[in-house]
Amino acid sequence: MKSTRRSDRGAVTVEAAFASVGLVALLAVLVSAIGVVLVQVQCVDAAGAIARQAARGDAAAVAEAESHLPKEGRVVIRATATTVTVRVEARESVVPGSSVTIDLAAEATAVLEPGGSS
Amino acid sequence: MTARGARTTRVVVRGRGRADRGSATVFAAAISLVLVMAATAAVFVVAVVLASHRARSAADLAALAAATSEVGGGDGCSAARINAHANGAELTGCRMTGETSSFVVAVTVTVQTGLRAPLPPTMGADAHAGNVAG
Repeated sequence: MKSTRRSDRGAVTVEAAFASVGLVALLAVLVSAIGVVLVQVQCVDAAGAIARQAARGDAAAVAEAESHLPKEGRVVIRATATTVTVRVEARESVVPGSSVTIDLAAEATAVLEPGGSS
Repeated sequence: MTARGARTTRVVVRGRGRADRGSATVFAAAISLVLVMAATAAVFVVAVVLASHRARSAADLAALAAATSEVGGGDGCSAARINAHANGAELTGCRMTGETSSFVVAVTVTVQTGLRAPLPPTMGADAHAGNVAG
């Protein structure tokens, strides 16, 4: 800041602009982080719901539960002799519109119910 | 971002002159601080919300596991414990009422939130399940 009063003016404006952009960017990251967590919550809920229906061997209910997946969500169902494990995976942009993504996943394991065949 | 904000001064409002220099720095710093505090609070809330959803899901599945095992003649509560564990939860309560022909099992599970004492370190949920009548 060695310049005179008058020529300082523009520089100050530019700095203020940078600061505003910085603050807005920070806010955007915070807001989208909340969005990422909401998707994670959706994954947890979907995995639980699908596991519960898969344990009953109710294909229609599984399909219904799968319709509540986060967008671009994927379901992997693994079954053993007595249990079924459902893994729901989703990919969410860290900042909306950016190519930087974060992989989210949730798993739920249920015991197969009598008469239920997944 | 914060470093840049800290250096910031703002074009002075008409008629006030140099005395206002630096007020924008304080302003930007204050906003940054508020944002950081909001972010920290959000992390806590998020941890609690996530843990409570996992607890809810784990409780439902554990109760069903207990009922399934009980119908098959097994020990419902140990089945619930195993299932809760598989879902990252801890069984903290399991109560069986009624007989094998007609029973209700009530389970309580907790999930770690990863937070320390003044904040809730665990979140719980309970659920119950029974056998299908008939």
